[in-house]
Amino acid sequence: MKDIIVIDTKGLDCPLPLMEMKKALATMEIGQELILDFTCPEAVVNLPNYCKEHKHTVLSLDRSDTCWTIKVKK
Amino acid sequence: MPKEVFIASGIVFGIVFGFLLKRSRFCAAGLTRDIVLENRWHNAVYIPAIVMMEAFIYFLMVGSDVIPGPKMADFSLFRIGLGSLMFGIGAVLCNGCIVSSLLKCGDGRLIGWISVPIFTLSAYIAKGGWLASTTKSLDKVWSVPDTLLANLPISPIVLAGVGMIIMLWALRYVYNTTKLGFTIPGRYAGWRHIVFEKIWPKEMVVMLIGIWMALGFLFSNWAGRNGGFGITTPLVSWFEFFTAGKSLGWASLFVLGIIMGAFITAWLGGEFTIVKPRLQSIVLTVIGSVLMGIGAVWASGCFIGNVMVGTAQFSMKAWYSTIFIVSGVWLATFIMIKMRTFTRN
Repeated sequence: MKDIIVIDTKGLDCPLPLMEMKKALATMEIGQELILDFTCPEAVVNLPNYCKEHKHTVLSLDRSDTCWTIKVKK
Repeated sequence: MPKEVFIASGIVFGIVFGFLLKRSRFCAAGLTRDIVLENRWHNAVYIPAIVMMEAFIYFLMVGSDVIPGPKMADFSLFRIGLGSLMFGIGAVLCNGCIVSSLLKCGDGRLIGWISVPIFTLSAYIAKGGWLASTTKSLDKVWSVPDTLLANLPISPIVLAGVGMIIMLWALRYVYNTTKLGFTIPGRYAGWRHIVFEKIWPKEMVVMLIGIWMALGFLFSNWAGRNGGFGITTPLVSWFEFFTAGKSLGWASLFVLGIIMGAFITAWLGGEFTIVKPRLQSIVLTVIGSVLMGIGAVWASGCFIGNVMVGTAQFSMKAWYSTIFIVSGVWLATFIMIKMRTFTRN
């Protein structure tokens, strides 16, 4: 299995963080993990919503001083 | 009470409006876009719910002679259609309409400070600058009277009341079937978490927005202006204030309030961060803001003025514009999907 995939979408607004996440998830293997950094406030809702709808597991959603980070398991 | 107090109330309306949009992550263009991008058909409920709630209260006030009724003017099918289409496309390029750009100015995203001035300048050029004669001549192409309200088969209060009940039922259904199954982590506790950090359900917030927008008609009228929330002309009024010393009104303060509301909410919610845009976003935002600015003038309104205010007054021009704004959003979204698919392959 490949390493954890890390994507930086800081500075991009919706729907681009979600599109980047979808693009990555499409190529990932089952059980593989993805870490995505984002700054778009709307993505705080859109990304977990998408994961819920497509049965991906949100392992964590953390906030630092500069961005949010979501960790997802396919 | 002096008129100046009611004019100043515009800033309060803007702050609360910005606060409500931020707390629920409400983005009119984003909701419309995601209907086709993410197949989220339940998004089609939120804006009509605002419109019907607002329309019911608005026509109650008009019927009670608290505020004057709407003034309907002839409009150009061509100019409104073209302008609305341009606005919709521009809103997708900017990742949100001009209201989102105002919110971005407040919450630290610098891209907002690129979008708002370019939008304002473009709107000024189309309204009073070198495109003004084109705007005026386009107004004569396929001009029709706005007769929807006058020809309604039933009272607008009854129509809005029935529409509101249907939309409240739809909101309840959407709330029960689309709950977010994940808790956003918080830094604060107590009232600060509930008021400024916790994400409020859109289904609740759209009801508050509908009521707030209806009250906007009342206070705006008390300030000497017959109209509801608006964005384009008020932004142009700021440009004319700085360049020609013209006076500001209720709606001018309203748009300033939106930026302030977004700032206060982001700051107290611990979300305020300066975010630098990427080059690709800057290029698309510049193009999108020009399209939105000229488009909003040609459409005589935007996502607020036409889609969420004029429709509540049962203006045919606003409903007609809404069709083209939504078409513009969907057209640009389809192109975006195709381009991303193409570049991936």
